[in-house]
Amino acid sequence: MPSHGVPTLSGIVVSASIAVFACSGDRRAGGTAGETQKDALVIGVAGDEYGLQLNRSRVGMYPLNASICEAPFRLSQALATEPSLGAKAEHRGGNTLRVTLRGDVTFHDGTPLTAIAVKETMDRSVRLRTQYSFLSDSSVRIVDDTTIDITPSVLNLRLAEQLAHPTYGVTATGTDPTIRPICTGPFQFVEYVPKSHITVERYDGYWGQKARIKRLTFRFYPDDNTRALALRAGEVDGIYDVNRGMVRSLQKLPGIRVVTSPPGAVMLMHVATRGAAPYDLMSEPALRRAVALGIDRRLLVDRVLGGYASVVSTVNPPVVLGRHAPLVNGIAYDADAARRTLDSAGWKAAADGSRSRRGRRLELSLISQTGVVDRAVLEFVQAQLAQVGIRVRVEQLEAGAFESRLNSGRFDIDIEVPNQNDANPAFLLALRWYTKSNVRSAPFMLAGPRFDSLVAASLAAPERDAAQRFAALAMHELVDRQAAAIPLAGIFRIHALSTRIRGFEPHPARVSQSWSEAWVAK
Amino acid sequence: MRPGIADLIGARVVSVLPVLLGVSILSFAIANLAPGDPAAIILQRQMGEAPTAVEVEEFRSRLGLDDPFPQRYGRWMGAALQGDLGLSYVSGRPVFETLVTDLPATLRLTTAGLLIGIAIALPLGVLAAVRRGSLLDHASRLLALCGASLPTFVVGYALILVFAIVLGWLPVAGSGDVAHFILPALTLGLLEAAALTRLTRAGMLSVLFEDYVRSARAKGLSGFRVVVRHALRNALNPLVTLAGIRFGRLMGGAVIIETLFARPGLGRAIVDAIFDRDYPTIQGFILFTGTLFVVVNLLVDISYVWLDPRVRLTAEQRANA
Repeated sequence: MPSHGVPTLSGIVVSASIAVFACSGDRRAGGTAGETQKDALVIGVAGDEYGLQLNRSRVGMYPLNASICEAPFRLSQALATEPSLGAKAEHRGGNTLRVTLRGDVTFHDGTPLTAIAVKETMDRSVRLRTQYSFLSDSSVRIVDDTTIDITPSVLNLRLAEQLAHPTYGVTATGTDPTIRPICTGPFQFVEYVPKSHITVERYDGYWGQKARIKRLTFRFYPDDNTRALALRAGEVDGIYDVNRGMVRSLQKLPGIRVVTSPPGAVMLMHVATRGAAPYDLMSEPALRRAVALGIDRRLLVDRVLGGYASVVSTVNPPVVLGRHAPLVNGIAYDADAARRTLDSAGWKAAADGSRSRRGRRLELSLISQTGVVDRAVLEFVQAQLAQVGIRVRVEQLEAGAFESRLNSGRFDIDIEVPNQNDANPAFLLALRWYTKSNVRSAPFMLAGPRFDSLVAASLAAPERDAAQRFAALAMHELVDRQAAAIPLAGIFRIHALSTRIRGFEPHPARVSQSWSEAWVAK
Repeated sequence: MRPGIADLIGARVVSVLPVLLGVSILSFAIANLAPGDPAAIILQRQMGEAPTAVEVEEFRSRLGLDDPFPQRYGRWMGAALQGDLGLSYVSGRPVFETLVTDLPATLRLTTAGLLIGIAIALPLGVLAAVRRGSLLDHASRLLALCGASLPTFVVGYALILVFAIVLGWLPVAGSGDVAHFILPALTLGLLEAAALTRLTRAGMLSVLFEDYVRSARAKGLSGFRVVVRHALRNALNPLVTLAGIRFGRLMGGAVIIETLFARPGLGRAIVDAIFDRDYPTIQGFILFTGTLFVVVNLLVDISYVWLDPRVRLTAEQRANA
């Protein structure tokens, strides 16, 4: 995962050096109208994540999407579904979704797209457990050559929205995607060298708009600073996912522009509403409300996140709730109200600013995973809450320790940045706070029966608008009434590109980034 | 082989067996006692979503993680003795195969680093000792100080900035051709040179005023012969010892260098494995490199028999007694 951390020592060294050398001239030149284009585009990305055992079948698809495969539907910039291989999706009553496939699609080997290929793909995702839509090996039924019926094993009317996730990228019948993924996308697979690069090439038989660039290579640079230096040296035309701490120095480089995507994720405080002692403080609604009141999100966005974020009230990017997003108000910053709330709840302030009640000190445990949330954000939250008398013990943990703490409920607050990778407005709600969620940390975060019934209604709503409305109402319950989740900021993805790159439109969801419009001027 | 020397070598070999057993227990314990459930972490990464409790339990059971620690250690050690280090939880490949595949790249890098280090350190250390107090001596000490105090990544970034960004002579990172190899090897080599220069200088200073060196000078031998044939030869013993010990440090340095320069190798494999809680790979790596380190130092120990006549004589005297 890319880190969006504050500058580390190495970051400072490199950033300073980049800034110094920014004045030493530029080997790039800006493009002009009517310019010719280069044949190849090279993008520097973070570490190679295809090496995972189950991910082998998703080389070029997930988590880095090289635009070689297509799912039945596509996730739009507005985080809604768009037709892709599936021309149409309709609910057939009950729990069944009928998907009608396009008839003019061919795989990269020239064979036509059929319902059999889609079924094989879905069945493989069930077998390899790379799906999350409650599908079973009997869920997919072929109706005819271009029609399939999909019936999840539990009620799930959000399936069409989930089918926009690249994990459902369809591969050709009888082929082995672990050896060579043969799909239908605008690019076809050329080469994958683990931990080095993946190269794809334009597919001229593509059914939609053909890719602009002939050859596209993603080079893996696990180190953020090396990736930035590779851009500076001209070894790559762009770097995808820039460490926030390096943005300022990259912006100073001639021939480089920094672009951002709309928020595809929300930095979020999860609170342990059902924690056991000593992690039971946040089960108190007044305390949760005081925490929400005590954090100035505008200041966080402007000062700590450098403006590369937005103030949001929702736990998902607001756009996913459509016109219903305003139903979630958020709890506005009001430090005085936070203090009053704590006073009323019996948390008495001492001379040193700390608070206690019946001998129990008001101190919360805040955990976060290293590399996911900036240390500066954690310290900001700590400082803000200290001002209203809430002491916070911050622990930044690496993945294993973090998961262990989270899944055993040994925390009061957890800050994460969950991504919205499909169009389901209730995805995060059902995953994190829903009583029926099977996620191991969910029992410590539940938001109550009203919230549950609204999530259930969203999951069971055949129409997207209704699903969005129920999800927004559930979020209102979660955020505004229960303060069981505290949104901090909508996070932008940041990329640094050569000014010669044209046509690149940053997608809010990394896994749905399209490269077919991008090209490089000579 | 003369009597006494065989006994000496045999005793050395036997002495490493408990060390290897300790390495195996430690490597298994370090990986297994770290916080975090590998089943949950691996599933999370593979599925892209948080796994359910049932999925985690099933996966744990499939990996045999439910068994008690001693049982798991016994099973692992038994297989390891037959060359089977298990399958990676993450890639599904045999760990031994990963080690064998990735080791050559790391060995090439560490060997190149060591050779570059020695190539810089030997002449510099000798000259610094011979011209003690000169500008060159001060420069060598400054190099040693920098090498000891600068983290590996700072040296790596500095070299990238100079050779790839400013001069444009070499690529920033990657693993294509020889050009991609130079900067990582040089980074390791410079750091190695710092430590070895200091030791060479100290070793030379300690022998340059010995009686036998003075005798050699008195016999009218040239300065060069005195230094190289008489002084340096005796100053080399601690250098050989250090080279063995430094091997472990070089392997550790490779972990950073391979990540920094985006090169494949054991270093990157182990970093990935640690973050993934890929126990078999972590255990296999620690056992493998630990064994390698022990063997290298065993060879260094044994090499004294040939390098230092006093060791040989003592062994022979014991055998004859």
